Amino acid sequence: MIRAVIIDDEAYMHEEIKKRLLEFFPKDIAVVAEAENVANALDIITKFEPELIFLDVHLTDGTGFDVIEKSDFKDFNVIFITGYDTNAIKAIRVGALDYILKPIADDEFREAVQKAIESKSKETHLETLVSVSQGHYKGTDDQKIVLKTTDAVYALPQEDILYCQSDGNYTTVHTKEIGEILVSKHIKKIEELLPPQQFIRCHQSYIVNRQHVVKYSKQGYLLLQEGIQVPVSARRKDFVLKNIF
Amino acid sequence: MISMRKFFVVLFILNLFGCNKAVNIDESESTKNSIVALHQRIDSVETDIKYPLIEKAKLIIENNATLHDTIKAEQDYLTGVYFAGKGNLDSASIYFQNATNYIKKGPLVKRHLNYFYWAWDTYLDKEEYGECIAINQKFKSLVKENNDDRLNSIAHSLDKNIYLKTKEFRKALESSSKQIAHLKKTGDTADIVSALISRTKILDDVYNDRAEVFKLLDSLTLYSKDYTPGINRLLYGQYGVHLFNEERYAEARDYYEQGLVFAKKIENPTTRRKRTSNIYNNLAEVCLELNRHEDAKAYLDTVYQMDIATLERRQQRAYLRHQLRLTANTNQDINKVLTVLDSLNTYQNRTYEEKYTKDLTALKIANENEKKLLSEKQEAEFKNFRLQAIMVIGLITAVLLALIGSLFYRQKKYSLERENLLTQQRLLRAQMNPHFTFNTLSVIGEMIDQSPRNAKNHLVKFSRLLASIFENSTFNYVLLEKELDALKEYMDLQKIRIKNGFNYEIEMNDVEPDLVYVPGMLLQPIIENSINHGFSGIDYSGQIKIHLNFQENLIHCEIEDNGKGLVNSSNSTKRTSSTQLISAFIEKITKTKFEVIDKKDTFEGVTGVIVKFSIPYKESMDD
Repeated sequence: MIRAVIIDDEAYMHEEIKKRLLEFFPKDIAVVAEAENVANALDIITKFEPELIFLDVHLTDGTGFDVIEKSDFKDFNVIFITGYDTNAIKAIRVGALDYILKPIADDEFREAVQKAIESKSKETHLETLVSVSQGHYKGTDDQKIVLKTTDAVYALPQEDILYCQSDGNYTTVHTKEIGEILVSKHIKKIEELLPPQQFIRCHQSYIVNRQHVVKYSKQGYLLLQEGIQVPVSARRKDFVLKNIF
Repeated sequence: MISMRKFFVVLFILNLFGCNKAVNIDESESTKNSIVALHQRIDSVETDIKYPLIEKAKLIIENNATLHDTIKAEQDYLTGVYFAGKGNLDSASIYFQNATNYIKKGPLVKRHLNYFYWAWDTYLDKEEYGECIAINQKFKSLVKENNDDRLNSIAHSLDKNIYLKTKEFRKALESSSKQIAHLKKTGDTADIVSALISRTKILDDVYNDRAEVFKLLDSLTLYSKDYTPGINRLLYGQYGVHLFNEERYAEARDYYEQGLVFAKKIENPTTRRKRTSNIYNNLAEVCLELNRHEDAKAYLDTVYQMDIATLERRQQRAYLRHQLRLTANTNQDINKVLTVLDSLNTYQNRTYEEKYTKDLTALKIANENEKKLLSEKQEAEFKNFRLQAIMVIGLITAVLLALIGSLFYRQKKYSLERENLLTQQRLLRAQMNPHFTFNTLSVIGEMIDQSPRNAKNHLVKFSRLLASIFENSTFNYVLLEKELDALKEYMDLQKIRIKNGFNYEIEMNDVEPDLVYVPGMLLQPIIENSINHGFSGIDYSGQIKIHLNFQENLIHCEIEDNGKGLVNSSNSTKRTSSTQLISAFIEKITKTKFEVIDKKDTFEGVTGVIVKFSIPYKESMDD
């Protein structure tokens, strides 16, 4: 049995979650405590040391990110709950965290909880991930992005990314400091996480960080530092030239 | 042909007036008297001594802003005389013209005639006849007020000379007749004489009637001893020219030499220089005809020593022509002519440079003055402003507010025009959203009793769809992929409403849906039409095909259904009206046709509708 807590400022959401847990995961998960705000949340986390937290982003006295940041105990999985708030959703996704949308769709709920149950090892990087999300949510200057590979988690400063190259459902992120990172994400999902004023989709399969572009070659590619070439599709040439320099 | 193209009638009259007379002023202020005295002195001294005096007078005038215009005019005139004496015609003409600009309405003072004459004469020397005409126009407008025969005769004389320069001889003769007619009323014989002499020139040029010309000239010569040197110079000089034209060269030379004697007696130094140089040139020419090369050379050398570079252009040309002829006739070295030509070029370049430098300096000074005036003005305004009561401040505020308001209004008008299309599109979305929202809600409402779970699932899907439509609607352009996702969700939601259900397929040719941005909610209303009208009441499964084809600058869309097709009922008009807005928008923004084809018109036994249109796209969502 996985010990879970629900932290949400709306009472009916507690019922919605508990009802579905009973229906879909009666033998796997037990809700051991519930809270409505940040203060109470910190209380019950310390007291019950849960393995899974359903955590609302918007709380009356703060955010879900605050809860994790302030909590001493961090050894748990978290599923964020959020309404239609594009900023919150993007913040969660930049931190590569899991979430469900309100109103809850049954299939999405089952998928998210199933994933949490299966990840036997607890999220060891939770603090890093949440700080990236928190940074994005608050709009701090040194924005990072979390990239997960099969054996590592990177919290990468955005300016460290040179360019991204698509390979089907995988994307290779080429960085300045730590080389290549292969992520199992489609390039358009990566594109959604990166600020459009800084990163430009210059090709169906490439995203480039404009701050590293040295020049455009008429042969149809962008030249980066150290002679790296990033192709530009013919159709996007004008757009790229207009936006990159 | 060489002839004396300059006429001295006016000059002669002016000489009669007397150049040394004081300017008529009544004021008794000492400055005024001292500057008038100074001007009189400038007028009487040699050219070279004039300059420091002019500078001195200029200083006094600049420090006494209240001085009358007549003094400023005289100052400009005297400066013009100085430059004319120096042979700087460009500067002289400007100063003379400035002097005439001070002359306003009212009786013409005799002295003012000088201003007009010299301005006119200098421009004539510069061969800028347009300026001559302008000056004479002004002069004539002043003459009109005065209605004086002498003044009228002068005006006609000036006209006549301009016509001669522009080779309008008939008009010149007309002006000459008018001039003489006016002069006859004044009874001034000297003037009539000079007018008649100049008339002989026209008679010769236009009518070739030399018999008449000589008859006239001989009768005039009888009273030669009564005339001034100026008149006599004109008489003998002109006589010589006519003789020259008759090829009576020896006689011509005699008359020229007599003319030269008179020319040297002319009082005004500038005029004297001009007339003598002219007559030396004429003498040189006649000597060339007589093959007296030594004499010709002597005359030409005299012209050269008169400082050839500062002579009238006409005289410079004549000199060069004669010198060339002499060189050719005597096999002399051509280099002498070339040297003269070079020196003339150098001189002209230098005077132009001087002129430009002066113009630039004048411009700079004018600029500074303007700035000074402006700042003084602003200062005065500021002081005024402070003295005004609050009411005035209120008034200014009101005016400013009105100004800002009007500016704001104008700017708004422009941006309104630009935003017009986008607004239209937003309006479309606003119209469509509630329509399909209520449709879907009513479907879900029906489902609640029969299948609460399904109803709930649909509600969740619907909320997601609303959210994405809501998000898309905040941008003018949305990612095509997102737009298509929303469309799919929409169609999935609508499926349950149709009894036999329907399928859809989206085909894309050369379109990169995750790279291009399109205006949102353009396809939805057309699909809504297919579902609501095309599929209503059909007893077979519906089918919607969406085909997107990438073209230059546009994405071509074809939406095809297998529904009932267009029906002549309220349905069809409804169908038309709901797509009307969209089609108007698309045709306006893409300049392409929005086509609705009823399949049964083209294919027998097949029903349904094909809608063909193009939508714009962008590579980023910024407008």
